[in-house]
Formats: sequence, C-alpha cells, structure tokens
Amino acid sequence: MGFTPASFEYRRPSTLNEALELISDLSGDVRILAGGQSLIPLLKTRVASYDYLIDINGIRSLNYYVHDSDGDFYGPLYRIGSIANNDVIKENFPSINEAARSVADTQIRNMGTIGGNISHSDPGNDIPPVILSLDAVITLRSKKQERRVHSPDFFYGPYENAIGPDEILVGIEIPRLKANTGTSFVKFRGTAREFSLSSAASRITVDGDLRVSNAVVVLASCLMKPTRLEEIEAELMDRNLSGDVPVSSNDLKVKEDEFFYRSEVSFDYLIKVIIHTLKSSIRSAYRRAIKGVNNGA
Amino acid sequence: MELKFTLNGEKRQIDVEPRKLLIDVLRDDFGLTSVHSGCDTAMCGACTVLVDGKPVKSCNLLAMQVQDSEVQTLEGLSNEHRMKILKKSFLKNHGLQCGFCTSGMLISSFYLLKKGRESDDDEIREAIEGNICRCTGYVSIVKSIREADDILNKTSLEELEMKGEGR
Amino acid sequence: MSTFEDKVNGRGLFIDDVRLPDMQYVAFFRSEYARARVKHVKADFTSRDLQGIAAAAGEGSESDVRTPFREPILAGDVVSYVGQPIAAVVGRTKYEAEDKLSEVEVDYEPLEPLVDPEGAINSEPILPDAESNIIAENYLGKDFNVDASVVVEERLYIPRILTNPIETRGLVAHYDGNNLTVWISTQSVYSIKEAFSRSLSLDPDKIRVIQVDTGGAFGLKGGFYPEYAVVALISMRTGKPMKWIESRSEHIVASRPGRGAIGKIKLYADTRGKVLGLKGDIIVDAGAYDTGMGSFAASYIAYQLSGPYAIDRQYIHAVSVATNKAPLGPYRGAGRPEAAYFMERMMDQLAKRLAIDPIDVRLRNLSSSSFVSPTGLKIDPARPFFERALREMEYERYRGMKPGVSFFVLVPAASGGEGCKITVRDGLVHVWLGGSTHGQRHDLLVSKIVSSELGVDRGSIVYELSDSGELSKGIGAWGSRTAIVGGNAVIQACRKLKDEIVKEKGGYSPSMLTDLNKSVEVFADFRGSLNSFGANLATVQINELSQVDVLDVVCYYDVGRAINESVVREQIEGGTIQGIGQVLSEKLAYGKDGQVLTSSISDAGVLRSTDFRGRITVKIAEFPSDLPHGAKGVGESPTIGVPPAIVSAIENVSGVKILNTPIDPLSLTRRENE
Repeated sequence: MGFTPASFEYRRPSTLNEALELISDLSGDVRILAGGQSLIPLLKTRVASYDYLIDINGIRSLNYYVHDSDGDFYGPLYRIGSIANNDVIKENFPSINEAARSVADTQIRNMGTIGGNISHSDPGNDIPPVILSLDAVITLRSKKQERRVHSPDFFYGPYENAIGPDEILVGIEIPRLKANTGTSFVKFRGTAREFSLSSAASRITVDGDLRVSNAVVVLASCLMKPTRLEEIEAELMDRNLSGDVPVSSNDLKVKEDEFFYRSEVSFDYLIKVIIHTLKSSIRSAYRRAIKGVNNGA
Repeated sequence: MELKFTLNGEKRQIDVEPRKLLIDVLRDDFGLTSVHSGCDTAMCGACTVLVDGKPVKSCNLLAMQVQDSEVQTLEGLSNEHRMKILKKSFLKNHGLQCGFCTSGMLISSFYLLKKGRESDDDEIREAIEGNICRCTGYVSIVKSIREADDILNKTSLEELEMKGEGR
Repeated sequence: MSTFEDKVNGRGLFIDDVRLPDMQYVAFFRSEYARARVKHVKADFTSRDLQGIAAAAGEGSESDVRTPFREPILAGDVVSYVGQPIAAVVGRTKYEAEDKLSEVEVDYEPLEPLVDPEGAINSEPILPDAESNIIAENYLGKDFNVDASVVVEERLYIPRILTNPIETRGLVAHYDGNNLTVWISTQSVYSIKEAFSRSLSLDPDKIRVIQVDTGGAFGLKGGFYPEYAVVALISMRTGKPMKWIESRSEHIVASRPGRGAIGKIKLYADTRGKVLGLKGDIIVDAGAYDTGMGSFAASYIAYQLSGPYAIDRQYIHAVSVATNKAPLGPYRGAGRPEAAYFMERMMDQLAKRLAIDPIDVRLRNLSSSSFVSPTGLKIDPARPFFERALREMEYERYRGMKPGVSFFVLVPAASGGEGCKITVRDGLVHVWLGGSTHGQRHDLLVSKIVSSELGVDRGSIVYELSDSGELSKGIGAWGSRTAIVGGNAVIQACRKLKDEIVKEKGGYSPSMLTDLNKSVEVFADFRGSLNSFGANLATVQINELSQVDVLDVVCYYDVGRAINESVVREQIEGGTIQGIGQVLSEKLAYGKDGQVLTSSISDAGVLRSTDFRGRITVKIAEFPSDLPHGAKGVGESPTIGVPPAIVSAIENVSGVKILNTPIDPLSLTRRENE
C-alpha cells in the first residue's frame, strides 16, 4: 500500500506527431506523463491507474523557452526549476519567477514542468494563477487541429480544464508587458503545511502620475479555479497605492461554492489570510510598476 | 522495456517493467542502497539522486523517465571534492543521528555547494527544504553544510590539499 | 553494524537493505472502516489461517494485557480501526505483492464507531467480549477536602501525534524448519523476541532477533505489532524468508501514535499561589486494543502529574479508554510530556488568576528539601535547581520579551537495568548492549566508557547493534534510560573482564587484553529511578496573521554527567524541534467516522528545515548520580519541557489563553477583536 504503481502500457514517442497519433488512436484510459510530480504519487498509492501512459519526455522539441519582443514562449516540458533559475524571466516576469520558486521544493521543481503544473490544474498549483494574471494563451493540439485557448477560458475547476481527451498542451505564450507594469505572486502556507491556504497573482500598470491604469488580480488555491477579482481590480483603478492597499473582506465577492477548502483552518481565518495575500501581492506589483516610471523619468 | 542511461559514470542498458520507479531500479537492479525510501508522497527526500546534475526524488520518477539521462547516486559522487568535504563536515559536526536521511541531505547540499559562491543560512535551509530529518532538528545539518561551504569558499584548493582535505 | 562513516558513504544496512535468497514480500490488506463486522474475507492469508495475538512489548508493557483488549494478528469477525490488518498476501516482488492486494475480497457491515474517548467511557463496548471500553482505571493519591480561597479548573488536550521516523517499520523473518531468525529495525531485540515467543507460542530458545541499522524510532520501534507476527508465521508456513516494509501511508493509519491525552485538572490554592491540593481526571485515548502503553499511560501521567512541585494533597483519576482508532503507543516522552504540559499550563493559569508572576507561583510551590508526592513520585530539592535555572537561562535578560518558562522532572525508565556483553577477538573489543542506538550515538557512549575503563584506544572498540544470539539478556532503548543503565552495564562488563584477567594473569594491561580471545556478559540490575530536573525558556513573535515564530529556546537540563557533551546537545536540539512541532503543527487528525484525515508526513505536521529558524541555547547542568559514571537521562527532556514553555510564551505575547495544541492561529486573532 503506497509503494508501487499498478501496471500500465507505456509509450515513449519521440515526436509530437507520434504522440498525437497515440493519444487519438489508443482506447482506454490514457494519460500524458510530463514531469510526473503530481501524477506519480497518485499512481503509487493506486488512487489512480491508467491503461496507457504516454511519456512525452522524449520529445525534445517541447522543452524550450524563448524571450523576444512579442513576449515569452514556453514549451510544456520546460522545467519549473529552470524557470526558477532563469534570470531573464526573473527580470521580466517576477511573478512567474516567484510562482516557480514557491512550487514544493528543489527536487520537485527540477522534475516538474510548466505544462504539467497547468494541465494538472490542482487548485493549489502555483503557475495557473500567474498565467491567468498575465493573459497567457495556451496552445492545444490534436491530430486534427491546433487551437489557442485564452487563459480565462482554460481552467474549469479542480483537475478540470479545456484540454480535450485527444489533445496535448504544446505551448504557452505570455504577451509582452506594457511599460510601467509590475507583477507579483504571493502564496501563504502555514507552518509545516503541505498545501497553501491562499495564493494571489497581480499585474499592475501605472501612469506617469503613479496611478493605477490597469489592474489584474487573481486569487487561487482556496478557490475551485484561479479567479480574477474584478471588484477588487476596479477598486484599485486610478489610485496611488504607495500608502495602504484598499482591499478588505467586503470587496471579496466570492460565492461560497467557489471555495476549495482542504485545510482544517476556520473560514474566518482563511478570509484573513486571503486579504493578506492579496494585499501583499498588489503592493509588491505596484512597487515594481512605479520603479519603471521613477527610473524612466 | 529497454532503458539506457548513464549511472554513476557508466553507460547502462537494462530491461525494466515500465511501472518500476527509479528508486527500485537503483536499489534492486544496481544494489545502490544509499537511496532510501521514506514516504510515499515525495516529501522526505531520502531518495534524492542527481539526474543530469540536478537533485530529484527517485521515488517519484518512473525509471523510464531517465532514458538517455545521467543519474548519480551518493555512491557515484564519492570522488567529488565537494562531497568529500561535506561528508567530513557531517561526521565532524554530527550532521546525522540515525543516518537514514543522510544520503539525500548530502546530495541536496552537494547541489547547493556546486554553485560556487557562499550561501547564507537561509539558502542552506531552503536547499534542504525537500529533505526531512526527524532526529537532528536540522541544527547540526545546517552547521555541517555551513562549515563545508566555508571551507570550499574561503580556502583555496592548495590550502585544502595541504590539510589533506582535498584528496 | 555500520559505522557513521559507512552511513555518510551510503553503506548503512537498514532493514530494506537486507536481502536473503528466495526472499518474498508481504503486503497487508487493511480495514477501510473504523468499526465493522467482517462478513467475508478471501485472501492468501486470513485470520482463519494465521492465529495469534499481538503481545505487548516495549515501554509501558510491564503488565500483561487483559484478554478482551488484545489485538489479534489478523482481524476476525470485527475490525476496530481504519488500517487494522485483515489479510496478508505474498509476492516475489513488492510490486507483485501490492498487485495481489487488489484481488483480496472483503465484505463489511459497517458499525457506528466511537472516536471520542470521553464519550466512549460510558458507551457500549466496541469489542465483543469486553464489559466496557475502560481498558484501565486507577485512582492515585487520596481524596481530600481543603479550604482553598482559589480553585482553578481547566480541560487541557494534546491530540495524537505520529512518531514518524524517516525509516518506517520493517522486518525480515526466516524460519529454517527449526529456528526463527528475525532481522528488524527496533529499539529492543529482547522485547521483540519475547513477544514473538508469546504471540506465536514458540520456544524462546528457537528465536534469534538481530537489530539492523535503525532509522529513527521515537518510541515506535520498541513495540511489537500484528504485522511482525504475520510475517513470521508466513515464513513458518512457506519456509521462505519474508520481508515487510511499512509504507508511510500505512504508518499514518496503522502504526501506533503517541500522546492523545485529556487532562481535566483542578488546583486548590491560597491567595499567595501556594497549591494546597491537586485533583484531576486523566483520560487517555488508548485506541481499539491495549498494547501495554494504552493501559499504562493514564496512570503514568497521573503518577508524575505534580512534577517538581511539592503538593501535599493529590487525588487523580486515571482512565484509559478504548476507541475505534489505532492502538496507542509511546512517542518520545510517553506520558512525561503530557504530565508536564498539564501541570505547567495549570501553574500559568493559577498565576494569571492571582495576577502573580508565574515564576513566583512556581517558586512558592517548590521545596528546598526532597519530596515524595502522594502518588509516590520522589524528587530532589527542586527550589535551588529552579533558582539556578533562572540564572543560567538568563531569565532577567529575556524578561522584556515576555518569555515562557517551564520546569519539569524527567522520570527515566531506568528500572530493570540493562545487559552488556564484551568479546575480545583478534585485537578488537566488540560490545553489545541490551538497548541499541536508533540515532542516539550510543557508539560514542560505549567507546568513551570502554576506553577509559580498559585503557584500549577507541579505534579498537567495535560497537555492535543488539543481537539476542550474542547477548542473552537485555531490556531495550527507551525512556531516556541507555546512558544510565546501559552505561552502567558497560562499566560492569569492563570491570568483570578486567577482574577475570587479573585473576588469570595476575595483572592487567590493555595489551594483555587485546592479545586475548575472551568474552564476558553481565546484567547490571538497577532498581528505583533517577529523576532529574530540567527547565526551559522560550520567546516567540506573532505576526499579523497570527503565525508564531519561535525565536529562542533555552534549555537547562540536569544530565548527571555528560558522557559526550556534543551528543547531549544534539539530542536536545533534535527533541526541541519535536517539541516545537507539537505546539505548532503536529497532529494525527481523525474524522467523526474514525477515518484518518492526515494524508502525509507533511500533513502530520513534521517540521521542515525552513519551519524553524530560531536559536536553541543548551546549558547542561551536571549533578552526578550515584552510578559509577554519574549519568542521568536526557533523551526525552526537550519533548517534555519545550512545549509548555513555548505555549506559555505564546500566551504571554498574545494575551489569549491556550489549553490545547497544536495552536490554531485563528484562536490567537481574537486578541484584535476583543
């Protein structure tokens, strides 16, 4: 009990086309294996079992990261550890760097992939809220077609998302940030706790007067899926946030059935933690945004 | 299914059942018993090995996932200068009590020390965050890594050779 | 055994490293319900094939377990906790063994479980042949009436905590048709041997138990478990060596957690804080079956409840109650931390009630002479020690930080003594002890004593792990006992060896010794106890989300004489983190249906390297015992003294009364709303 996966058929395609053929042709329960850091514990405890595992680690073309003038482009096999140690990403998208660094521990990050973290869609995963806050586009491909899914349309709920049964996530695009934009990701995990209680990703743009001209605020981990908080975003508009960040539990228009709740803490405490995470993330994104204005001026 | 990989510097080729975890191939097929299993959920890090130079948890990988990769266990790192310094420091500072988490701790520390600049205590603690120790309270482990780090960064290789610690 | 050099080189020999030709693997099918009737089981091995009881062994198992509360090695008609073994299967690999689990068929008829120990006291018995759920009940001290101006009464609670050594349980058993040999990760080969003999009705002379490198234990591995008996029986049936290694998931549901105690305590005091009387109920959640510890714990807590304080009137009701949970076992401290937590919390509550400094309340209740409590606990003069502790811990310096202070008495399990064998062979001095290391560095203890007694250099001393085939009589390593009685046994063995050489050769020199091939064995009896004092100081900081950061823990413990100071220090550091874990995070959580909610080692609250970054200051007090080496115990002191000191500091800083651990951060946020 707990040591060994049940048997499955294993395939290791070396090209994407081969993988797409397999996923469309094989019948039964089929699962893509990327880094496997969330999947393998489920296999070992035999909570999950599959007829086929398609290991995409042999498809070298899926492991890339490109930074250019249009934005950032990730292959699904790009490792979380590579993101965490990449200075270009840290410089341009601090929130992605922060999310990557907060994933589990060094060993898990070295194996886990950006594509796996997004497609597993565990509410506690760290990359989903960030890519939602950055308006990322996720490319899914099947044998027949390729489609681009805008991140707000991608996440459905715990472990559920837009990836069809015959599709593979083949790329993530993050559009270039506007000038004077700051991003941040903050996660709260209690002492010796396995799961985070709450995480927040923000993207704040300021004008020349250091007022917020655009705000995107995403709450995750405590919710069924990463969710933009539009009331809070509206509240931040046109404000200078150098003082207090005006976010209170009254602005939190989350319905009860949207919460995903796996810790023993009380609801009141959770709300306190949520407000704290949101504020820290917004504050930090704002500071990064005004740095651009102050340096440029 | 055929698995080809480099293990502790040697090219290896074996037939494995695809569901077999890397830890079991290392322990059962190659007798590398430095690699320990401590939890089912990829948290304790007693099974840590290097894959392509980076620490990963070998109980949380199918062996097939290291196809064409390079795997190093504690056994294969015994000639590394940094590892020798670390081991000496762990022994001197009692960085182990029961010794069960030790191989994993050494590998995570080894990876930290590879970066070639001094680490502060927070960096040391973060580097071993994925390795649980129930005996030491981490105090003597952090001390052991700290001292190895100081030796490596503050002492030139020549001085170490003179002290007999470089060999 | 492997040396520490071997271990840093990855060459230890832990139980999963033991491989025998033709060895097979056992896996267990475990109950999915906390309480159910088992209507039908189909598997390779069920209770119809393998019969026996899991005999009590290890700390707290002195008395034999009463029949209705004995755990069968495989469940029969009823299952009484989630995780209870119902059937066993065998495979040539562990993969194959786990595959076979999916073929096991079990039909249950679920029954309403009892999970609340207080509620279980007066409920229908959960076990068919029991008259009630009370496993053991005792009244300690003498009932009294006292005219007290203040009565402070509280209900305090410490939940169950998993031992969680990084190496789980495991064994290899091989029956060759005549003798049973067992290799095992354990704290005592002798308790395991005796329990095998009792469980399987085997002649003890045909059982040999060999300890291998033991990857932590913390109380877990002194005990005997149903799985052990099943693995041995399957080897006896098949003639093949059998291995079982516990997975962490199994550890969480089916190993024996510790703590799990409720204290309803009443202090009667005068207005100056002098405690005139102590009454209380100690209720221990013993789980579904008695393992020795289950029935022992409540009375043991009650016996030492008053700790270092001279309280003349005491009347304590101690009850161990059966519930539909895994049986209780010892966890580092085993009753001692519960007692100290209850008493120290109450002293703080009394101080608060009277608005007196908690230090003064303690001083007022400490005696300058020896004291024997109404429950029989003997202590040395406590007041001078505590006064000295305050100075040594620099209490005045920390005062501005609102530190918490605790004071306790460590009652080691020294009674019973220990065995030791020394064999000189080919120039090397091999030493076996009755209780051997699972992390405490007994190798350093042994080599220091042997080298000073016999004058041989440490390089020629070989510390061996326990082996019932070598040393015939021993006890085990638990209850902070090995430095005391193990150390003494080594001294007695050395002296016996020396005396014999003097008798034979007319003199002694180290080289005469190493030229010989010779063996001696002793059993150094020890009666009574060697109680010692300890004190802790802790400071904390609480952030805006009510998270507690422990900043400083200062320990001042009497260790008699430190045989190896750095080992003493490291035992204290490691135990301190466990104490912090008990306060901040550690808990084995159950649902109302008796399902185990804790899902992993992290979820159980074991601290990671980044969870505590504070400072531990260790000051060693040396008041030597009368034993030749002067040692007293230390292993459990930090898990006894650290939790109440930290909780007290948190209470001082937050202003919120704390009765239960682990602390729910929300409970500390009330401060702002009040």
